[in-house]
Amino acid sequence: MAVDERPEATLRALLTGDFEIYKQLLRSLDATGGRDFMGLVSAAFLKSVDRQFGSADLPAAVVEWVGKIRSESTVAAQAFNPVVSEQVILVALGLNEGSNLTGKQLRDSQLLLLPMLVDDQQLDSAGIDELLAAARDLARG
Amino acid sequence: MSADKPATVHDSPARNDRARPAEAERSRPAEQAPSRQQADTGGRPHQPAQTLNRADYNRTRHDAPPIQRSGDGGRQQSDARARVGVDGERRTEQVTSGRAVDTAHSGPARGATLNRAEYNQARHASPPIQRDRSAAAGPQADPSTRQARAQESGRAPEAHRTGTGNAHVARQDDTTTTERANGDRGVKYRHEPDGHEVSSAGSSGLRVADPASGSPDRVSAARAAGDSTRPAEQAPSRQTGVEQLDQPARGLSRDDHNQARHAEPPILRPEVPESLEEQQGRPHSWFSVAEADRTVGDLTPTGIGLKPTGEQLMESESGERSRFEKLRRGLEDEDFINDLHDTGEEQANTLEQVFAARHPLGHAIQSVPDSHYHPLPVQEHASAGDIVGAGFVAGLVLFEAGRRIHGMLAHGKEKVD
Repeated sequence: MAVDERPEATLRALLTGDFEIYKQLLRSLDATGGRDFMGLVSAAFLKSVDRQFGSADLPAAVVEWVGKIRSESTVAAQAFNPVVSEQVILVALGLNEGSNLTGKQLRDSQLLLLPMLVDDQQLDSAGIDELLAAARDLARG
Repeated sequence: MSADKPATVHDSPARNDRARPAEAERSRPAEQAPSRQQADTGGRPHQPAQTLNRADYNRTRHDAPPIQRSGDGGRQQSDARARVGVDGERRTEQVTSGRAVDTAHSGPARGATLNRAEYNQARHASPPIQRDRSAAAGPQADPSTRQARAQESGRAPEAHRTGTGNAHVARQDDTTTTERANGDRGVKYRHEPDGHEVSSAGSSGLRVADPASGSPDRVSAARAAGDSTRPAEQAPSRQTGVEQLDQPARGLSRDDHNQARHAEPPILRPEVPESLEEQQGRPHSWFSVAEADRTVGDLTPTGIGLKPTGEQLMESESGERSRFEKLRRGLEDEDFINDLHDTGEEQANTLEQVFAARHPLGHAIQSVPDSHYHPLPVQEHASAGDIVGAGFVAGLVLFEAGRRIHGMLAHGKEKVD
């Protein structure tokens, strides 16, 4: 696998639920690859948020969705900080500047919320490919 | 030139230069013909419109003397008839009933010069010739088709092409028009590649005097004979030109066209500012529009700030790029990659548990009790044994009840006794 393909392959493993492969690929990323990977994650997160909440009643739909995710299991309730999760989604929607969020909070929340969004949208392999292509276009500008 | 008409006004040295004796005109080289032709035929007849205002222009057009052809100095002119030379090089074309213009064809740059007033008068008296584009077919054009067109426009051809086709049809309605104009006649000259010049009286007819018959409306036999002696390669071009003149106007008839032109002269507005109604919807330096009515390409300033560029408009429409940059905040930290490696595995484990709770693995199962007790199946309908047993129990109950009642009655009798 080429070096420049690893970020995208890592993201694909994350979105398809292949967490073992995801861990392996994630460890192989260097700083540049990690930034490329996080750029893809941010772009895919933005696209997914637009699809999920583009025509929804905001911000009520965001609050409702985060509450639903947290109510599914105890692990989810502990993993997802409702305030941070809602603010990160609102930043992606352009409704919040996210000035009170740290870079780490932004990164971690996106890495947690993005697989949940993709799973909620029930994207198949083709849908994930389409999402990755759109994220790649946005990340490369 | 008519003798009773005032002298031609020469408004430019170039036109004065054209006023030369006929002999000098004949001796002019043939290369000068095109320039003269352009001037004579009014290649740019609207030049006064750019310098005169409307009133002067219209006055010039209506008050000008009849058509005169200057520069023909000692050229002879006759009133009624034109002479056509045997060699076909010199002919006289009838313009009006009282005026004739002698055109010498030996000199291609001959002085067929009209001054401005004359040209305007000519335009006013006779509409411009509308040339049918189909006439470009030239020699290939079907004569029957042309005749049919003429009949459609209400004009019957008076004579048809003869000989090599260089002579052309003279129409009866042209004569009528000429007589009606009666001195207010327009002449259009067409120079031909061989240096000959043909004048057309009216918009479609070309009139050539016939010395034999004496009728100006007939095709000149002498011309036909002269044309037949010309080189063959000159015939198509000449024929094409004649064809163009010969084509009737499409759409409006001549009378309608004249009425339309006289009823409403053209309005010249090169310097007239447009009204506000005309400027509506168009950007102007001092005309501002509401911002809501503006288009992307409208450069009209709104008065507040600068207009956004195309990229800014696209950015403001979606804001995708700015939102993306906000989400990428913190990627330039030094320990970013180490933090990503550390938290990445933790989050992967967390997500595994979350998805495990969200989508349990395996198939749906039904729990099986561990006890060996098997409850009897409940029968919904009574069997025969149930009925017999119920009857037996009921009989025992009735027997016992009867025995007790009998015993109580017997005990009561004994007390009475």
